[in-house]
Amino acid sequence: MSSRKQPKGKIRPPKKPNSADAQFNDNWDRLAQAIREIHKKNASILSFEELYRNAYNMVLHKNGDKLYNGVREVITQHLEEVAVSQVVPAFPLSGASSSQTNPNGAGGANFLKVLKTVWEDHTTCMLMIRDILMYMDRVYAKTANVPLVYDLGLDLFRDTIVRSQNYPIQNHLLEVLLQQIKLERENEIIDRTNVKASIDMLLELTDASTKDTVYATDFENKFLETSSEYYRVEGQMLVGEYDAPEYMKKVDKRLNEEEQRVRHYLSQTTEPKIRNIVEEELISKHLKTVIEMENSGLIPMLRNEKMDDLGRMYKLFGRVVKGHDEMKSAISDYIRELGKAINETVTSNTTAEGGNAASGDKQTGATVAVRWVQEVLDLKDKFDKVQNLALSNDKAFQTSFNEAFEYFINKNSKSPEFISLFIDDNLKKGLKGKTEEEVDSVLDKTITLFRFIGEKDVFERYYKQHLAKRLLLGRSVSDDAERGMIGKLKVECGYQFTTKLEGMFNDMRISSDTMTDFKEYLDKSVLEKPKLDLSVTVLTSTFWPMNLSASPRCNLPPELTKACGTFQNFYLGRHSGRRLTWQSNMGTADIRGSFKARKHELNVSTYQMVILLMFNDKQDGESLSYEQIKGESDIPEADLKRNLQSLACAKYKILVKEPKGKEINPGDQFNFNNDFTAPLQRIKIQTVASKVESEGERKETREKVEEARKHQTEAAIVRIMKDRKTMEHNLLIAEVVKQLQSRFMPNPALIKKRIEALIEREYLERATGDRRVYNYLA
Amino acid sequence: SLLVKFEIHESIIDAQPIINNPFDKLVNSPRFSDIKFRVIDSKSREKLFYAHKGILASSSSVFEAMLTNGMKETFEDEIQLCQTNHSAFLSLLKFIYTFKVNITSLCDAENLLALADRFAIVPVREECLRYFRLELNYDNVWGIWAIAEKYSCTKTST
Repeated sequence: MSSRKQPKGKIRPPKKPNSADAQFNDNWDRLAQAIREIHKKNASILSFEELYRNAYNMVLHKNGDKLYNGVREVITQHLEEVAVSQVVPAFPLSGASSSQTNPNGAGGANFLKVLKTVWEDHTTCMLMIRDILMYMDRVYAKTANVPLVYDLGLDLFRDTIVRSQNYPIQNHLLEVLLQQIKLERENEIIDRTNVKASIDMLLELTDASTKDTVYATDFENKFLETSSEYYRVEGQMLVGEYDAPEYMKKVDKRLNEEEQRVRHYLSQTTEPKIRNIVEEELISKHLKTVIEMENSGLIPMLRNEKMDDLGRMYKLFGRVVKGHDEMKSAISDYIRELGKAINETVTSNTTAEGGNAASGDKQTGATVAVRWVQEVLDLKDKFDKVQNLALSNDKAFQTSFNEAFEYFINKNSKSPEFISLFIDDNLKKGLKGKTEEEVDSVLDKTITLFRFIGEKDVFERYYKQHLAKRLLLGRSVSDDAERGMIGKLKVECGYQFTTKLEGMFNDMRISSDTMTDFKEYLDKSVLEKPKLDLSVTVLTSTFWPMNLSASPRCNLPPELTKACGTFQNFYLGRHSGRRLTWQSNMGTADIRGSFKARKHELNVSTYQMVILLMFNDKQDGESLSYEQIKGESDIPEADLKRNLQSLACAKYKILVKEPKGKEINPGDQFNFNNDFTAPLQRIKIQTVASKVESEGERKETREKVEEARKHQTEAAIVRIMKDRKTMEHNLLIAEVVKQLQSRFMPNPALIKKRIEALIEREYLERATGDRRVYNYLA
Repeated sequence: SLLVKFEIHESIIDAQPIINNPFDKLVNSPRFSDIKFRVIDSKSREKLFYAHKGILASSSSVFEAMLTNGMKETFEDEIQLCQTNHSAFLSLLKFIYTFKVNITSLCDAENLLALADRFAIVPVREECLRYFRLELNYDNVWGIWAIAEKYSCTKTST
């Protein structure tokens, strides 16, 4: 305790400058001495009150500037001493090549340690000095516009130690820091606290001219430059030595390390910069190389479903600008390639079977379709999985995948037919092996493929045909499943798309009611009852895929003609103004055949029945020629051939053909096969149905579709013009495309032709002023 | 016709509770005191004052530094303050504990101003200078001007 009193008397406003100067000098000497004691860490013996009051009095007597300059001098002196006595002796051994002579960086670490101590001592002292000079800071520094004393201390430290003019301290410091970081990058353990202390020091010091931290002006750029160089070399090395997954793991690790490094001892402001460098050097520059790496790049990863690696690639490449684009285009190219391969197997199959197809082996045609769809579905599943597990369900990727699928699916002109066939296959016999849920999920997936089809109208046409067969031949296993499917289509394409399909269902229901009424009518009527059970399905011609103009001719046996007449009377009596046309190509019949061995019940098509009934009048062994059958029955040639084929060349040979063979040719002779045997009593004769259409039929379908499109296009044009009254050519085209694209992609030439046709028929006219503008004529 | 009569009842104002400053009784009290000041005025007269470190350090950065920065005073429980007027020091303590300051004469004001300025207690400094401006007259104008100059208050000196 020092209770020694100051020898000065009271402080009075000074009368004479001389005595004031003397007093100042006296006071200053004490203060300077005290600061030196603080530097010697002897602060605890000093009286704060006395020193503070001293400084206070000096400022009060307007000696702030002298005090301030004095303090600056004392601190500078001290720091110079520190530089010589502590910092310089700690220089790592041999300056520039220190990393060679000093592989562990021990000298460097020691240097940092010394610097850390020096810095800590300095800041501690400056805090005390700031405290005793608080009044100077508050009153003098503000008015004189000079830095506060603590900041003065920082500036002095910067100029005397860190950027010393006399000693190469700065060079050593930067070099050691970079060397330490390099060592750490090479998996050496370094003392991070020392590095952090130096970095913090640099962060606290401010560069006078830029007002930025010394860290930013002196250190950061050098750090980024060396890092850039380091990773440039490393990137080249890694790309040469590792496969893609390993490479990505390394990059991942590097990114993590750099992030950790910044968090532990660098400034957060450096984080994005160093990240950019690593991303640029290790990802951007090697993007393509890694994607295209043989045996381990993107495609092999997809092929082997390496979800982890794919996920890693997605995350890593997402960091750089082009990364995801490169991935996306590589993947969609791959999808297109796979899709092309699928398409090619199908076409090669069909061409290989070209000969067979004509010979009636149509079953394979359907299986090709089913297989094609199944393969596309599998492909879709695969990429859905990739999308889910590796690509975080990225929408952009989804879009590009969809485009790829759309591209190759529409490359296959048969895809609408195939998809419809696939659905047919599932709704027909699918339920046998699968539960309803399974079928439902298969159909759901099929709908996703349906979405990709550009020509939805073509699909609709095929779907109608297949649905009609399922309904009329009773092959549809479940009404619910059918309705479910139509429901799905409705969701996709709207009410309009499915009205006709629903109409078909309606017809079926009404027909069954009609048949009940017909039976009642027969029971009550006095007319002679027909000798056979007639079941009629009345179809609305616009709903069903029928060709009214070319209504199939066929000479029905008299019994049947009579029964038909009865029904016709009954029906037209109830519904006036309707016309009934018999579609003999669609019906089936149950007939009983007596063979040598036993009797069989045969389920055959109407045409087959007509053919078989002809043999009723013939003696055993008496044969009919192709021409005879053709002439008598009047069945169209294609149908006749097909039906004869099913009777004579298929599994159950009810007829025997001379000469034998798979093809039906003019001149062939047919005999009733009396020796026919079969294990079952009831036999269904499968009509060799054209599952996949033959070329001719396809052309016909195509033409029908084209015709339908013309009407739809015209309807759309009229609808739009009726609404707008007048419209410019290009706008009209765009609008028409917009309205129709849910069904098919109309080409502008087609639309233009339709517009011209409408002008001719005076629905539209060209505007008198501008030929490119149309007016609607009401 | 119908006559509607409105009556407005005056609502009872929700008055704030009256707060009595609880630190009044701690001014210069040995109760809970953890620091003493031996105050010596310019005529070397000594007087002992009791105070509380927490309160002093909270209201003045100078006291805070004095009590914490690691110099001699940090480790002592009696601190010597030289060249400090006793009554002005008591006024300062009162203000620190109660936020009230009571100036009765120019002489008081000058002494208190010196202390407030020294210990960086701004409201007291401002109050003293205000007092000077209020009391300004022909007789004391030069004296007050000198004081204002000394303590760097341009508002008062002009």
